[in-house]
Amino acid sequence: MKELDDLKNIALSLIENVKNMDELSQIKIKLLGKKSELTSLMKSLKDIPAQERPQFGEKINSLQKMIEDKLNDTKEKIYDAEQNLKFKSEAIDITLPGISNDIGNLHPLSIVLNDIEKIFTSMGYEVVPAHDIETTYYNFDALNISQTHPARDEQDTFYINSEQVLVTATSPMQIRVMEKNKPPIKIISPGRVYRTDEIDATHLPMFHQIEGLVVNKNITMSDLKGTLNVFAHELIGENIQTRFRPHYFPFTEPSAEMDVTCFVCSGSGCKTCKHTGFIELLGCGMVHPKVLKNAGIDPDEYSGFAFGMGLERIAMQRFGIEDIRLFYENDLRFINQF
Amino acid sequence: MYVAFSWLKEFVDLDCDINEFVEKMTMSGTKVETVKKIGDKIDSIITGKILEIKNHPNADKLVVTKVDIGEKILQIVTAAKNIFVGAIVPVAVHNSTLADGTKIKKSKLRGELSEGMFCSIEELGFNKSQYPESPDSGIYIFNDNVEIGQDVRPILELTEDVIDFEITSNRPDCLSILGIAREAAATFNKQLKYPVCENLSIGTNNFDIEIKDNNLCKRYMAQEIEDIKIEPSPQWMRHRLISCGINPINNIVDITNYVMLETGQPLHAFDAENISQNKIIVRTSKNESITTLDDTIRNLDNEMLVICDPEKILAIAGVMGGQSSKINSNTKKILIESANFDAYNIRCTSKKLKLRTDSSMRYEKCIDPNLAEFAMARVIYLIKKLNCGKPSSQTLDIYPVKKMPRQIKLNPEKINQLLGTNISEQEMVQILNKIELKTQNNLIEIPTFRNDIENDADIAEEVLRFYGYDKINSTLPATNIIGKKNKSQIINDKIKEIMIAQGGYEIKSFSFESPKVFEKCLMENQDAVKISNPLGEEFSIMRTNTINSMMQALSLNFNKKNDEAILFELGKVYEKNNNDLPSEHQILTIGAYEKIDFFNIKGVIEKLFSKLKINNYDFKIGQEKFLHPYRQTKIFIGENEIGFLGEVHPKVTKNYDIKSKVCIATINLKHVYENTIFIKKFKPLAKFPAVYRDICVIADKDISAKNLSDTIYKCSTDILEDVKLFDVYEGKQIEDGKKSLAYKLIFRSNSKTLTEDEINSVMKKIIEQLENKFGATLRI
Repeated sequence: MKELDDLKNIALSLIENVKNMDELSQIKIKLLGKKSELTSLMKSLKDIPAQERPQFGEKINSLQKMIEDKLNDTKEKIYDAEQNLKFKSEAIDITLPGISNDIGNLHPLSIVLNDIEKIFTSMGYEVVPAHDIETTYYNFDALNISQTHPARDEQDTFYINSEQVLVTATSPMQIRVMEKNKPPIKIISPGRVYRTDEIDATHLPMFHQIEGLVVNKNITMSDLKGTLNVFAHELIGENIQTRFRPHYFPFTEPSAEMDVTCFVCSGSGCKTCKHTGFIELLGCGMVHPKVLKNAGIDPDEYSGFAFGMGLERIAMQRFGIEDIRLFYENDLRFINQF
Repeated sequence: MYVAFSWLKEFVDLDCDINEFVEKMTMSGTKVETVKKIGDKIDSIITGKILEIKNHPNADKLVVTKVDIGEKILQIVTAAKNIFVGAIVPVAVHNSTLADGTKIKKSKLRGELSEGMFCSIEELGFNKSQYPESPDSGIYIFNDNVEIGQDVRPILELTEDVIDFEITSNRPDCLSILGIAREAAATFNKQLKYPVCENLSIGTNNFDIEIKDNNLCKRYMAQEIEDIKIEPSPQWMRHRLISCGINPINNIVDITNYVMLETGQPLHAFDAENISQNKIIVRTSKNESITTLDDTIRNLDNEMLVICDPEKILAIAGVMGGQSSKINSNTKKILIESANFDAYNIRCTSKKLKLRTDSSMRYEKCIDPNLAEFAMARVIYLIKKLNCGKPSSQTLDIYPVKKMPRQIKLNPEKINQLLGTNISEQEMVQILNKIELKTQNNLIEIPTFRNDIENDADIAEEVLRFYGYDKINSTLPATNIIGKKNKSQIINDKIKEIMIAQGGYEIKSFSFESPKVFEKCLMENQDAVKISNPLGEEFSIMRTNTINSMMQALSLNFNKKNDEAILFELGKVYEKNNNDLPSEHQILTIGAYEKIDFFNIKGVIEKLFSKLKINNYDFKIGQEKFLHPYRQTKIFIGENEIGFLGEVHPKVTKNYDIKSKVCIATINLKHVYENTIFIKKFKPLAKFPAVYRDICVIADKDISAKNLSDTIYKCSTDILEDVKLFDVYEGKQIEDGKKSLAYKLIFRSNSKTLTEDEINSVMKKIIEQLENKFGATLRI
């Protein structure tokens, strides 16, 4: 028995002084290996009187178990310690910037156009892109802009020849759509439009418009108002106010302009809204009976409304952009902001 | 159209304030753009009395004055010569503003403190014709009875509210105070008060008037006035003209302008003694020329309508008078013209001469011929009232076809149906009567000044304007249509999504460009759609390709030193189409500079096709002149060439001032739309494991990687699932003229786990084939 106690003390002190995994495995062999004292004690078990054998055997077993446990504990401690050292050597500067693939960006005009298209498609409108070049018939005559109408002046319109022009509005698409389809018609038509304006902070010779057209039996001015109210609230926000003012367009009658609460001052009055609290969002009206007739639709049977808005202007107001030229400079520092 | 609020109030008894007026007029259809005061530009300029004038100790041309401005006495240094002790003058004090925006501050002039400045009439924003009492040069001097220390604006009558109305082109009747007053009277439920007129006696006078074309001149009235006394018009008239943006000239000219503003009818006064043979001819010009009142020689073509005597042209009809019959200080006898000319002719003339006047801008909108008489009667009244002359004959009136009022049926049911309202017939009639549309038994008589009213819809608008646009309900149209985008629009959206996910930034550029871009881009000149009246050469053709647009965007970003990035644009190009409308093609353009190279962009395009499930694309050697001859490819979908990809030729990058490699690609989207597959079918996931083998071969440099991989593919159609090139190497350890290519081969069967033997036999075949076909050897 004394031997066992001695062995235990020796084992404990050895284990306690282990410094690393190599030492630990050597000590494990020394204490528990085939040539270890414990193994020889096991082997000597048969020499012990039968009477004492179970008790002695039990003691050896429990000593072995204790050593094994101790070794395992120590192994874990050493592992943790070594791991900690390794971790420390692997320390990183977490304030370094992250790494990622570049994700690009939509042009701000596309962002706004997407929003507008989503609102109208959700209200049942089909999207029909407009042409850039049209005949004078579609751009003018069919829209009740006669040969002598001031809007036909060369000073506003880019001509290709006497019969073809760069469209001055997206409205010619109204005629194309009505010629091709029978009511009910419910479309929006985005496109590029062209006017002979010199370039400055608020004018470009080319910009974008979105046209809308609804034709059916019993379409009323109150349908126009309701539709555009829903649109404006979806586009800008539930809290804004809208107002419809009389206006004039050759291809609608009655005609109106729709104002919305000023984006900048929220209606309290500022430079942008000329202190009225409102800014103009779009032009609209009931399709002129002559226009319906020109497109082959009987104005006694059907009525309709149309509207048109400028994309750049809406984007400028939404994002607070003061110079329209930025849209076509394509500076990444601009495009990346939206 | 500028209107002084007080002038308008002479025509309508308005008891509202300016803000309510603006709001209600805007809502009834006469939109107010701005309200300003005529003296808004100047600030803190007050009256002061000069107490003392002393020589400046250090300057001969300057004097040092003491000025009483009421609350204190200022010292002001000035070079003005017309001042004297006791003079009351406009003083711009410290922190004041002159009309041109100049801020006046205290300062020292040659060592003497100057606490402000005396002002001339010009520095206050006006001129001698507007304030004839001002000196020819020097400081404006007030009357002795003016109080000192007062804002100069009320004294100079500059505090008037001037309203700027936006008048739409269908309402020429509102290019007049009378027309706006009519709208105001209806808006505020007031009575319109017409101005006082002389009773005209129509008949003959000493003049003979001949109109060559009654379509171009529908009416011509002429009135002789004698005993003319030319002098400045009274201050109240001058101020009204100034407030409406018209420069006062003299009493006769001012009266004609005053009546034009009141009535909307342009008028002209000729010096009658300079009209030869007392004969006026209204005809088109015969390529003559005339010196107009603005002292400019105008060359006239043979379409322009002119007023002549038998010897010379007196005026360009409806646009501007000529010097030869100008009213001057010696004029004794005049002829007043109140006429109606053809709108389109006047508009063309004014446009061709680039001369737009207060007269032409009214005529070109088509004014009512019946207005001429009213305006003439008003002019004669004012000439008599201001005592500047005496009518010496009857009024001549040539008016072959009198314009009569039109009648339209009132259709309340149709109007309510169009508007979605329930307005009673009685209310409609009341509204229409307010704007002088008289009704009788369902018939509406449209006055001749309302040319714009033709049908039910027009009547509906008139009713609605005064019923109130804001009173219409909000409803939604009842239609059962589904909203959607078509296939190509959906693909466009998808393309943008894929491009952005790959780091693409969307750009937008102009559709027109300069014909010089072909040379700039080393391209053959192309037969582009040309704009006949472009803003300038740089915007004169519709683009036939998008290279220039992309190069410009790349150049801007390169030169702004922006980080490298992929730019892309979805935009149109335009192709001539004989006599038909040009074709418009949708193009995807991709561009990048610096480290983003050919293979980056090629990868972007391959990924785009793969995401759109387009498999039948191919790259073939290209030969565009504007690209690097050995770094470019044509892009195909099936048999169709749809675009190119390549490194831009250094000559072209230099033309765009880019000091870096540039890579560019364009894809005509027509074939992309046709080949994109939306319907996707599920393929079961592989059940058996894949086996990977790497193979590295050395081959001649000019053998294309695609040839090699195609050959590898052909060696096994059943178990070789994929071949991936993962390394290409030339250089050390590799013989000159050769390259090393490393492939990863993926083997898999869909029926069993593959054995070593099966794979080895395919590998053997592959190595043999590569060797036989290309002389490629295995790299060990």
